[in-house]
Amino acid sequence: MDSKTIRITERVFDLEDYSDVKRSLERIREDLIEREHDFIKNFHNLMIDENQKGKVIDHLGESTLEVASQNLNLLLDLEECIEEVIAELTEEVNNMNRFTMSITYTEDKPTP
Amino acid sequence: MKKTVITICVLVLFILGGCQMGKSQKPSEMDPKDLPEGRAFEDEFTRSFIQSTEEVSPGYYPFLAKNGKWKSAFPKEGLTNDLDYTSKDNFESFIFTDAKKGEDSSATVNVSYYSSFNPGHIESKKRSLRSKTGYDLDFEEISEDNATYYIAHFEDELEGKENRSLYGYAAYIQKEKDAGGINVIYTISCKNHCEDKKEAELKEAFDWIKTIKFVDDSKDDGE
Amino acid sequence: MSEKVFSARELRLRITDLEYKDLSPEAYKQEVERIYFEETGEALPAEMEVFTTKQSDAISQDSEYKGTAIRFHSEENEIDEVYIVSEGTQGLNDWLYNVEALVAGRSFVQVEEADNFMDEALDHFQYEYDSNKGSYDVPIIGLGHSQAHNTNATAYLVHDKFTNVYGVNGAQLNYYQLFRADPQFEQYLKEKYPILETDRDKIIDLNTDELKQHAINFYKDKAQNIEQDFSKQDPLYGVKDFRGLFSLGKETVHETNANYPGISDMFGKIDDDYLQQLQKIAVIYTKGSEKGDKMHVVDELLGVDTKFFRDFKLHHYATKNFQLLQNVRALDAALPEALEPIYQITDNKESILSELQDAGYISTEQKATLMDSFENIEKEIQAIESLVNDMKVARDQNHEGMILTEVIVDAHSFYKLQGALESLAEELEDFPAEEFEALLDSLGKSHGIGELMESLSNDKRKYVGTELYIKNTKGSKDIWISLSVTGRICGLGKLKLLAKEEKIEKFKNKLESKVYEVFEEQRTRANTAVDYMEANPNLDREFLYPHGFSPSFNRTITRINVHEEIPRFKDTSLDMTEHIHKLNASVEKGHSLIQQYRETVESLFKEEDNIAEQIDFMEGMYING
Repeated sequence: MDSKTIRITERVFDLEDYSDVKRSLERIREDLIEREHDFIKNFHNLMIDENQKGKVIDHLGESTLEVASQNLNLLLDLEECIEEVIAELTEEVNNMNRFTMSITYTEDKPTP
Repeated sequence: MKKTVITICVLVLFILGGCQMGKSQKPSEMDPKDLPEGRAFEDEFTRSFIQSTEEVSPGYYPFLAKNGKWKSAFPKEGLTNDLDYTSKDNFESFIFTDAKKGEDSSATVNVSYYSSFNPGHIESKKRSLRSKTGYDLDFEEISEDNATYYIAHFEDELEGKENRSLYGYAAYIQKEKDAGGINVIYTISCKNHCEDKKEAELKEAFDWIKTIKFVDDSKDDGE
Repeated sequence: MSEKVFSARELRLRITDLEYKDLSPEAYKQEVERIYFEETGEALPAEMEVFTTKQSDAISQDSEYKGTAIRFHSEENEIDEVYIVSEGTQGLNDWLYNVEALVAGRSFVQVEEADNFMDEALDHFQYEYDSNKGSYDVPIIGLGHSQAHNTNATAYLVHDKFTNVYGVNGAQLNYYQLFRADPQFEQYLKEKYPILETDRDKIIDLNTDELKQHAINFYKDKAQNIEQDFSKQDPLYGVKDFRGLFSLGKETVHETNANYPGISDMFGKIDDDYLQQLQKIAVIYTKGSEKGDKMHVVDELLGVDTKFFRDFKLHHYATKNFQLLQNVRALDAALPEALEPIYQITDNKESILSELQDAGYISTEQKATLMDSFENIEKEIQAIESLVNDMKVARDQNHEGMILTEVIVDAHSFYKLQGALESLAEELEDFPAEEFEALLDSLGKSHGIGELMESLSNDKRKYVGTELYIKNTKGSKDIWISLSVTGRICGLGKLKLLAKEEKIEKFKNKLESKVYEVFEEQRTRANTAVDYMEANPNLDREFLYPHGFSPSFNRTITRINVHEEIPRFKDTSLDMTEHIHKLNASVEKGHSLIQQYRETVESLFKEEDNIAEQIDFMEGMYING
């Protein structure tokens, strides 16, 4: 009996879409940004300094700015991160569900 | 030819005009010559509240509040003025005097409508009228279809430049289906021979208070 | 006065202002606690209960009157008192309505609504009304700003339930209003002026100085229980001597904005007659606005119901000819008197606008715009006057009624009249109020409680609006610090960080369940599929059909070898653990920031000032809810 082998690549499971997961994560991220703004706002109006060059107020202001920008940057970067993770998840999953295989088969004689 | 057309037009207009006569009109739209006697009809402002020249009872004509939320009868010698009238959707304050010519007594009637007064809480309303008038009021309760009347009698003797007797009713009317309340203070002021007419005047006042009715939004008052 | 809890002016002012914040009962109570502590350094000395118009059953939710009743009770400290804080009118548009409505004295709906609310609140707090005494057995103190002071004070005069009434930049009492709202005052005036018994409208002709004196005499016993604070620059203070108004009670006037001299100074320079005309206009404007649409303002301004003219159609010449005659004559007769105050203003527009400009209230451009507006209004009114006169003259000359050609000419006048009425209405509607925003803004601020409080500052305590700042007692420079903000930073700040932590946890959980676990599940499924395929090569598999393995092909698969490298989790970059760590670290940064602020504030004060304890207290208010 003749035995032949072919090599094929075929999708075994349907394509997956994780955009709802992405949205879900995004929403939390956006919420965290809003909360960050809200948190920083809390620090407003603590002091009035007649002399505009007050060290005390400036120092606090700098610290606040530092924390605010670090935290917000982190959250802003997170957007790209989420995007990448979801993209990778989608790609990995869809790839793994597409098999490359060698198939060895025989031709059966047609029934008369 | 043109003249004929013009004449026909004019005739048609007058015929149409003719057909207009005879419909019931509001006193404010009528020729003063056709109006009944009485201060209420002589005064332009007062006249604007009266809905028709047909009496609802002897000497009384139908009155409708400017905000359309309540109505009552109105005496033909009744008179109000611009300053004594405020009308908003949620509040209407209306004061009129009723004085028959040549008589010793006259009445001042003060009516206020409040759209925000919910049913219940009647004790508070009675208390308000007592503190407002300074009288010890004892209220009689009368229930009607959509409203409950709380009416109290008062009497006072004033000694001053001229001795006067004051007597009348303080009332609160509560709309029952939904929010709406009306305060009434009906005061008759009399200089002489008061005892003779007092009973009749008080009855007239009492009956008048009963003519105050709330107008339902759902009802169509008609054009 | 008898108050125990809100015994200081600053406390009363801040609580009065609190009404505008529209808080829930819980948030309101928290604010009262905060303000009390900040002002006195102590916790409230009594239990507090709150009842608002939102909870009221006696008056419906669309009542005009809004307010809050606060009850303080403590047996230990012998405190038992109720405050009725009525909500005033804060914005300038409302204030304009204020002046117009109150100068005219036309509405007292809030007085009665307030009285009903008070009864309900006291009943809610379980106090009983003593009918013999005509009062409740507990001190009731009224607080009110602007319109609310008029409400409280009028309610006090009419119903006599308040013990004390405090007003700030309040709208004053009005004897025309009281003539209608207080039957006892009405009788008193009728004693003095018997004509009022039969001709009530004559009250407007009575001497206003006399009327004012009568009102002050009649209510003099109550004057000692009323106290008022004013900003000199408040426009409402400027008009407090307008005809119809009178003031009762002790008055304290504060100079609050040195930039503007104050309207009363300006009014002092203007003719009395002129002011009267302004007042008439105010009444007219209010009555027109009350009815809602712009044509009503025109009607009120001209003193006639112009609806008849506006709705007039050609066929009405036949059907309403008589009314038309009446109306034309009436309008013609009424116009000169009705227009007199308007002409007074437009004739004097130059001087009044110059006054405003000199005082710095309006700029040159604004003066020009306003001049234009007045001129246009004047023009329209003159047109109307002239048209109406034409129509009247036409009728007087044709006693038998007009022939058709005259009707046509008349109709043309009519058409122009309708147009002029429309134009006038538009002109009034387009009156450039926005032009004067800066002025209005400034006037508005002077009417607010904030500016007044700022004038109460001293060298240790300073108000910015109604917020209090105290001066440091340590350090080389003067710095002003808000304890409330400090408490908020610490207390509310910590609560927010806690909430943020929870959110980060939620994020992490979602990653785990929707990304990591999903990845693992997919891996498992794929691996299982591979194993199964390799173990069972010849099963019917639809995905192999395109490659020649559908049933029709009669082929037997003897072996499948899957060349698949299914990645492990660690081979991917799906792991976001590092990011989660960073997010958690950001929460730590928040805590550090709070700590830094706190320490900074504490370092600005000497130990004996007990700042740390005060911050603890404020912080506790947020954390403990």
